[in-house]
Amino acid sequence: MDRRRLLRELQAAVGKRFVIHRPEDLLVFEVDGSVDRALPTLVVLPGSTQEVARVVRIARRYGVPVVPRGAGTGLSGGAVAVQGGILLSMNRLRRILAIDPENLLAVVEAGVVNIEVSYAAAKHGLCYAPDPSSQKACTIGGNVAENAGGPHCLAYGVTANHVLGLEVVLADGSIVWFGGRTRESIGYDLRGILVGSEGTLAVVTKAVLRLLPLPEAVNTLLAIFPEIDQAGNAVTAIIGRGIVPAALEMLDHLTIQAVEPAVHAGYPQDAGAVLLVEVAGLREAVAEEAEEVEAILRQCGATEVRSAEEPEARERLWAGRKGALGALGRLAPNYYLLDGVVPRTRILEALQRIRMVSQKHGLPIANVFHAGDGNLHPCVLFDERKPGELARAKEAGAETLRICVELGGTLSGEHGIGIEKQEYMSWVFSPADLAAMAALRPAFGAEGFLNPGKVFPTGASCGEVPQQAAMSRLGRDAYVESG
Amino acid sequence: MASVAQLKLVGDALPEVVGVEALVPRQELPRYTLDSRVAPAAVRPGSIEEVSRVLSLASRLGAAVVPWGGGTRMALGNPPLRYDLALDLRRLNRIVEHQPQDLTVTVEAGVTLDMLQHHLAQQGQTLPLDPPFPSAATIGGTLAANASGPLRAGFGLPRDLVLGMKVVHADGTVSSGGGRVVKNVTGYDMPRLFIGSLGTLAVIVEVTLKVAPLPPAERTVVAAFPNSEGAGRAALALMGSGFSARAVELLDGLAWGSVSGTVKGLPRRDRTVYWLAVCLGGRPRAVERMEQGVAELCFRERAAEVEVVPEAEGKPLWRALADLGWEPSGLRLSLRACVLPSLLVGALQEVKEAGAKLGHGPAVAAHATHGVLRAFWYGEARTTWPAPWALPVIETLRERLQEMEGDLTVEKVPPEVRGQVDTWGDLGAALPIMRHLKARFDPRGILNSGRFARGV
Repeated sequence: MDRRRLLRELQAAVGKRFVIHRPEDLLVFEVDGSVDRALPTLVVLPGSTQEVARVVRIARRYGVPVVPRGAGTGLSGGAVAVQGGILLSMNRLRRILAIDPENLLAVVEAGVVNIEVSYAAAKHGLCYAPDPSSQKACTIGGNVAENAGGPHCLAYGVTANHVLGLEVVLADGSIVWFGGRTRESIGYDLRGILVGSEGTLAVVTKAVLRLLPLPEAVNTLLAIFPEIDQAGNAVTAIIGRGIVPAALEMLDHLTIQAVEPAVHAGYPQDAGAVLLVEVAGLREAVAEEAEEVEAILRQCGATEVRSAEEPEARERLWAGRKGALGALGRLAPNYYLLDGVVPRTRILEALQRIRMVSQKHGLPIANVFHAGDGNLHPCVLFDERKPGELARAKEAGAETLRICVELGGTLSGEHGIGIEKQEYMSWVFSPADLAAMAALRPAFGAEGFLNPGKVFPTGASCGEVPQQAAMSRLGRDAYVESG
Repeated sequence: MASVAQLKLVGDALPEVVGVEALVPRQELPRYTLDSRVAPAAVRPGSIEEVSRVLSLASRLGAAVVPWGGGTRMALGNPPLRYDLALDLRRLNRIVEHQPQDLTVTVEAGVTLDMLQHHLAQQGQTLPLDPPFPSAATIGGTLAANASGPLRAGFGLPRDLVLGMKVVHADGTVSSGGGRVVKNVTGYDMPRLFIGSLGTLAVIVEVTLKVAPLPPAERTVVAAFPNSEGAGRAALALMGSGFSARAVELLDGLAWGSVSGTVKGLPRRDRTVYWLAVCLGGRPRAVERMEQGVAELCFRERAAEVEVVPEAEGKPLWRALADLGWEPSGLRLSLRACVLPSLLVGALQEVKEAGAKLGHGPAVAAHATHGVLRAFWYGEARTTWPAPWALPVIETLRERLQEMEGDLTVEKVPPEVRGQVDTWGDLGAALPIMRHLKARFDPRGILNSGRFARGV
């Protein structure tokens, strides 16, 4: 491959200063929010859908893979160019093209930051519901690729439930819309299949998103429990009563120990668990539900229940949850954040078994998670400087995921499979299941070309899985937290 | 075209792959008639394993299969190019697992909506999906046709309720996608592909669904407007309000006449009036507040009358609204338009104009907050309406709607003019991808051959 010719063609397509080719500049794009790293051949920053199409066509001609990238906050290696190629940064496509308050929708470019959509919508009394923890940095394109969730997807749904249409560039460079601004489209649900496809089928350049009216009233309750089992029972009791809170989050003992000195949220150091419950809707409904929830929390053994309705007071209650991962840096220099799902009713069992994994490997595992939908985020804490700890951390991580699958759950709730879990896909899917999925890439003309080497097993054995050595995290967040 | 020898083979070979209860006797074959074609053979497997063996056999023989559920949507699509075997899924009717605490339920494809709702109600839960004729409509068929009802306003489309799915492929292979949990991004969301694919990619045999608690209180508000604009504006105002309505249906006088004829205790007015029916659910005090709020909102848009429907009439009303315009007999023509909600009234006017050109006004009912409008014409079976020369009116209507960024689906048309009307219109960029998927999943073209858009 004539690299210089490729470089010149790309420079002609997007402008010289938007093609990064010097090795020292490429280093920045070697990593995303995950533990994996790989150097791309080149990084290109197109400024429009047409430029994206041009780049894709050029790459196709040269037989060079394309890896789309948003903010690089992904945790499964989705934006890591594991087979080299052109890293296609979508950050310059960041215009909010329209907010339509009458039809409750927004039309945005793929590089728009998630929270910007909600900020723009708020001016019309609307919001965009999917709120991943990284929402102050992550982009809509990335959200679509990973079917992002967040604490508020319990009541309102995930990204897939909010995408009405997608403008994409296909592998052959053509620009097409799947879906649009209306609620129905003819033919197979190709728009639906693109959500959660981790950039392996097409490059998303625009999205039409569904907006919701901002709730009239919100009440956030925080409960402190001596034992985590009590918190687990409270979750079951709340759902069992027919209440579907807007958010339901849990922090375990270890997390509390890290968070309290950092955030001073007022959690007792010996608390077994903290539960955050948010109810939203009409004033009357919220008042009643909050009362019921508080009663349930106390019945289940909460020693203290705090509640807040005003935005600032609610922010303070959330501060512990939002600052949790950042605070883990106090307990260890590195952490490996996992994303697994179990049925809500198996959460306590999962936590018990995760405790055993922690003991077995001699590594603490802190748990912060979306208790309402069974989406766990165990954090394996370790020190990469100590020989063997990284390997043990990964083993512990794999075992935790195995537990999730055994309990009837699955490998990923919101972070995606990427590189991180591709070799574990056969824990959840049979060869026939994987064969059915394998039909999609060729149908979109994308195999071996768009984000190759992701999601599906490479057929390599464990030892050959391309996960590189040192994690250079020094106790900072693995991804950007709000608050 | 299957040869006579092949037809005999399918019928002969079936006893080798299924139990005797699965064999459908000759005299029952007429119930599987499709577009005037009687099924040459039919089978009703009792398990996923049997479905797999049947499809494997059909694939080997190149026998064209038409999956059947309750038969409520069979009018949709082109006539099949070939039809050798009816595959009746209704014996797959087990409720496999219900986890009330997880708000999930797993059922086989042959379970009817009524059966499922009855079971869920015992735990105070419901599946917020209300396609027509729930006593006959099966989960599998409902999803294959992407059938929905008024509850889509509050709860989304069928795909928003599906967590996981098991299908049998054309060659008999069984595969699963999704899972049993509410958060999932593990591999491609395969259920999305099969939902709405009209059984042309695979046969749905098992589904895991997300259920919801039954609301503590439910109320229906009905408002009459002097014109469609008022009703339309009220629907839009409702969308932007904090009153998360479970359902919002907009009907013209003809459609309302049809409904109020069957449900007692409903207000009636003359045919020029437009109606909005709103279903509210939640905690009692919230519902009271919403009821007031909705009434105020309607009066602001010049409603002539707003009434709260008594509880006893609420259920039958919504049942009637879900079934409206889907009657198996008496319906001559049925069109479905989808536009932006803000353009619904404009689309309604276009549809009425088309009706005028066809010489006969339609009844119109819409899922107002989703911009989905349905127009239907009743008539005697033996008439020659719509006349073939009038059919281009439908194509013109489609073009007008496309100019409004919408589209048109012809849901029902008299058998004699079937081939002259384009059910779905252009598929654009999706077509080559769809064809590729079809070729990969059903290389011999045995599943619902030729019935979907552009003959896919």
